[in-house]
Amino acid sequence: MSERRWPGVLAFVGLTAACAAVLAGVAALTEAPIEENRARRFEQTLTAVTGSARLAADVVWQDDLAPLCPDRALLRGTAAGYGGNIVWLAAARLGDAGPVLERVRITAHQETPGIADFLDRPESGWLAQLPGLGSAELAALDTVSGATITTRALKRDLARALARPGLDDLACAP
Amino acid sequence: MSRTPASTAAPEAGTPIGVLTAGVAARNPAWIQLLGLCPLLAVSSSAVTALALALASAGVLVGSNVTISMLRRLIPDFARLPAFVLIVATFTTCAVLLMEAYAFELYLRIALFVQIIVTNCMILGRAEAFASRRPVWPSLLDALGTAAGFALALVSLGLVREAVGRGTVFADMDMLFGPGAAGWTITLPGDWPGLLIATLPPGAFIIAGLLLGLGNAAVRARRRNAGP
Repeated sequence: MSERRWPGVLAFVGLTAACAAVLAGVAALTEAPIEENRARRFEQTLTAVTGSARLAADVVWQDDLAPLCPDRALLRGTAAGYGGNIVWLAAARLGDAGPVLERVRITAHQETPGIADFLDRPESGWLAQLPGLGSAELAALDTVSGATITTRALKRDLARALARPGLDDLACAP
Repeated sequence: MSRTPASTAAPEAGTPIGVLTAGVAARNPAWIQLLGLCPLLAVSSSAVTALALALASAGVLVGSNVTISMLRRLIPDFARLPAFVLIVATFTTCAVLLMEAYAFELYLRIALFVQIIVTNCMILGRAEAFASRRPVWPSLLDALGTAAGFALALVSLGLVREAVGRGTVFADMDMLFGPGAAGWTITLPGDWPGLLIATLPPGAFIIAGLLLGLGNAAVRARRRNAGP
């Protein structure tokens, strides 16, 4: 590198440091409200999944399972989708015939916008047919064409969670 | 850099008013230069999302233009593009963080398109063509004019798409302006059921094309009236 370029390189390094400092400042400023927004959104999802208003703090997770008394359970998991992790939250009804899904919500995903938008619409489309399905029915469920990897990953992970041995004898806290 | 024929730049190009208005009309980034069409088409399905993206883009454009103009003697010529991108990316990230903190519902709907403001060639174009060669004050005016032009294009497209697609205008404004704006929704007279395609991507192309044609016709008519 020629001698004359060093001042320019130093200026560029200085600019990078200044930009990093600005970003760190804004990140620190917005950290608390962002956390609050995310927590509120999670509690909305929790309420939608369980069917009644619920605080995140009220749920006692143990190994991605939580009892919902008297005969239901909350499940959560992460499926490896096409664009990254698909984080889901579900309520399941525990019965003699084995656990069946009650409600499923996707809390975070990085799937292709426009292709996998149905993940954000739990009341319609592919997600709407999940309630009432058990582990075996899930395995037989059709995938969405164009989003095969997304739907296959999700149904496998849901089926895996429903077939977990610990689910049936989940202790119901008084 | 400006591709506009000199005859359409009505106010003198060098004056503050000329710099400000050039971005809105003669050099409108969206309708004349056809820049930034990706977010324009993707986010304009309603007036509120269009306005939100316009505000975010305006913030990034003004911030980066002013910063680049202030630092123009410091930024080495051989590294100017990385430096511009660095500055634009910093402002874009700030806009994303602020939006997630203070307009969360809106953030959930258009976050992706706020993030890609960084690649908007309208902003890099103004940095390279204007801000890196001019003092701070004209660069600020240039950014304001260009941002207003982009906002005009976005909001007009958003209004038309929302009106045709859903039969309302200014719905969900509370996502941007707080609960007080919840009553701003205007339902159009008549029982318009809404034409779904207008809110979908193909409708964006069709309506943008029609508006573009309308704008071109207006420009041509004005030029004819102005004489040969």
